[in-house]
Amino acid sequence: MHILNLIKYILPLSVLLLLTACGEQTQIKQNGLSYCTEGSPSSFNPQTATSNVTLDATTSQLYNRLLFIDPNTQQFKAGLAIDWEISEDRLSYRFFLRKNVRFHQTDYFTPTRPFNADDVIFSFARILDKKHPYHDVSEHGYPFFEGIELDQQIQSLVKIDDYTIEFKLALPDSSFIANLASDFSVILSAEYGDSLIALDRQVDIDNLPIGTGPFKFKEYRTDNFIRYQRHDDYWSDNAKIEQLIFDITPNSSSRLAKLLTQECDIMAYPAASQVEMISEHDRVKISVETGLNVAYWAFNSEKAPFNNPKIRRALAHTINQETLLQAVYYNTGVNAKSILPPVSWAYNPYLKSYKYNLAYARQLITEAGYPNGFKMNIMALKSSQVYNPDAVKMAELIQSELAQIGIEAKIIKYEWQLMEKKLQQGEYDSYLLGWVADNNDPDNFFRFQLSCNAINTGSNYTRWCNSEFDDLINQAVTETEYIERVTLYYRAQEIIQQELPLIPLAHSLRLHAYTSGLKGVETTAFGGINFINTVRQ
Amino acid sequence: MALTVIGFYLRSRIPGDLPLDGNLFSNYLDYLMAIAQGDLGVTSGTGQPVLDEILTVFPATLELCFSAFILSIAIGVPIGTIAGMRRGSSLDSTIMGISLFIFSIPVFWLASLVMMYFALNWDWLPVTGRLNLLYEIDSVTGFMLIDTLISDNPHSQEAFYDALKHLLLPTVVLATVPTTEVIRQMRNHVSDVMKQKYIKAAASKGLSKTEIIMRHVLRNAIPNMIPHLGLQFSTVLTTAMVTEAVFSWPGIGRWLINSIYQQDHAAIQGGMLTVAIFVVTANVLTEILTVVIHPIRRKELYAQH
Repeated sequence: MHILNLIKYILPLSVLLLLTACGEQTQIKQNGLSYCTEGSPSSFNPQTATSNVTLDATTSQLYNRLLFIDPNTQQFKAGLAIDWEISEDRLSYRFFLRKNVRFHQTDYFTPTRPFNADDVIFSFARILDKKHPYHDVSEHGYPFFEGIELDQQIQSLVKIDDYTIEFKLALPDSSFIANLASDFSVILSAEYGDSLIALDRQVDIDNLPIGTGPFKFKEYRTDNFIRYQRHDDYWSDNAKIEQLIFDITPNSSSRLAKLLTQECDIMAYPAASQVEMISEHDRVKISVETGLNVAYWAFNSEKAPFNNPKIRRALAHTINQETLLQAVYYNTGVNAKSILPPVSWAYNPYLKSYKYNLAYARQLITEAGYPNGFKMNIMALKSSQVYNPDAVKMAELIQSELAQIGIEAKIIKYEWQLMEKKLQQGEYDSYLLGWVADNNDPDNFFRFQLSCNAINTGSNYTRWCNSEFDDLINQAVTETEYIERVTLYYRAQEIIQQELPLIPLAHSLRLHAYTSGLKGVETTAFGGINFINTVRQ
Repeated sequence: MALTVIGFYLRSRIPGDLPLDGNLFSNYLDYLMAIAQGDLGVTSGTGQPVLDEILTVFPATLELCFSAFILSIAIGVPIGTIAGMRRGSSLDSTIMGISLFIFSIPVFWLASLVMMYFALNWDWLPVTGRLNLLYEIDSVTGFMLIDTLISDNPHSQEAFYDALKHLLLPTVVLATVPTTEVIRQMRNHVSDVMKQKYIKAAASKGLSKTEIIMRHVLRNAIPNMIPHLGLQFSTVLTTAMVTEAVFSWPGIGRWLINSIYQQDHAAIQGGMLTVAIFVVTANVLTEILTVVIHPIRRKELYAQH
């Protein structure tokens, strides 16, 4: 047949075309950057976030804050506020705002005015004022702000003029400035909020974001990718690259494969086991930083037998930290004695540690009334986190130790969204989780995880409530002198070590891997990543 | 039908998912009406309608399946013909042996192996995904090859080649499933045809071997093979899901697996329903196609006695 004869010619022609195409240099790669990230954001507004995945994707890319923490010096630097004054009684904070800051212009919104005090008022009133039209719009609530009880902390927020605002606090609070600099305290556009009310599409404020950050939102495909475009009217120097892609790849081996074939330029959280392999590859580099984070094994203090501190202390003696550091962290972590990492200024170096001693553990459990051991479950996250590269493996190691003293532990693996639901429902014995600091104030480590109030706002899953501990951390934020605060925090850490609602396991180093031609990737100790200065050589 | 009953029961167990006023039977009818109108519920992950998400991901799987079928026909027909013409010879045994061997290789292992060699070690092809994300291509049909060609993005030419490069490895891996069947069917039918008297007549007429194959053998063998190929569709679809997982191909397989991890019942149901409907439709279409192509079957339709 004549048609079939043509196949003789078509096939080799198409192969030739393919081969010629392979040799083309893609110019589009010069202006774009792909970041392989490990999860999907829960929303595009950091105010509603709980996980680092959401913060990584949004805070430094789409938004700015009033002030931010310099990653190198740990000092507060001017952001959307160029200066600030604190009154003598430490109750009034006055911020002077930056002029000529432009919001993003996208195909769903065009701003008509630059940033001013109304936007700051809008961003905070949404969280503080229960009657604000946007207060109930977020289905996740505002976990960070509810955790620090911002609505009770701030008595009033007043606009002095178009570029000056003043916060009035109910009580002096040393962590207030640090909380304003955290990744959660971003500034939204009041004009966008109003326009969405007019269109009755208020939910879009968290899903189709508008901010003042170096990149603007272009497209999002769930569990697939996020596309950002450079904001050409940024108030500081424009970002160097035109297009930024977040390629969502939960599997760390796939992330590494993509990095090696240069489909991604940077990858998040290389698995600790891959670090050595990556450092030998000449096209790829690894950057290592200390992290303000902690990984721990926490218990449900409302459920027997974990309501008995003796049992919790006994379980602490079953932990072999050396093995964990080697097998899970591949020596990219350090031992943890306290929930605070050693680099924190409030770290208590005098804490006694629980030595690995299975016989003693068995004795304690028998004394507590369980001579034949008991059954328990351990919840673990499947994906790797900043503070823990492999929670499942860690759970398996713990499980084997527990088996030797007659405790049968069952491991249940979860994705974060599902685990969060289970934690809120309260049907669990123990879980492996951790914490990454949101700012450089030690209060951040204690309040969200272990304060009594945090049980109600839903971030204290240990459900442990100790009034002495609560008094200590509440008093510590009212003090200004470091000496005073340090003494209080030392005592607080002693209480944790004594009662052990959770067992601190390790502090992890922060790892990032990227192709050698890349410069200017900034990561902070608090878990964010910033691409504004990233450039390809 | 059975699927909808099971699906309805599962969803009624979740509080707040379906409007459950009235008795069980009327609820079930409401549920069926909703599905008929395209309302498959919303995902618990993002709150988006399930149907929209399926319409986004399903074409990707279809693109992969079609490419695999095309590749399997392109490779299988010539090889099967050769094997059929020399049936019983050592070449025939070798071909059947190799194709059976390739068919027996577990797809996920083959996919990882192929990925490791072609992408990582030899750096020829990309590892995962459908298209380099830096290319911004609007999704018009859902088929990347078509979308890149009709896109008005200045880089759309490059994007087309990029999409082809991404499509190549998963297609090759997935094609191992139907190719064996194609070879086997072609071999059987070709050897049957070769035994027919009209082939001898054609040879004695003076037609060359090639002409005999083109004019007589293929025209009789291929239409017999198509119904078997259509039945393969369900196998190819399920294997595609495994392939998608390994290559991170954004199709319905990967989407369903994610939904299962997140225990997203509405999504799982909607996905299973769609896949089931599609397989049934594909089988029906194959039947129709066979009747259209194969004159003998057509005669069976019209013939009374």
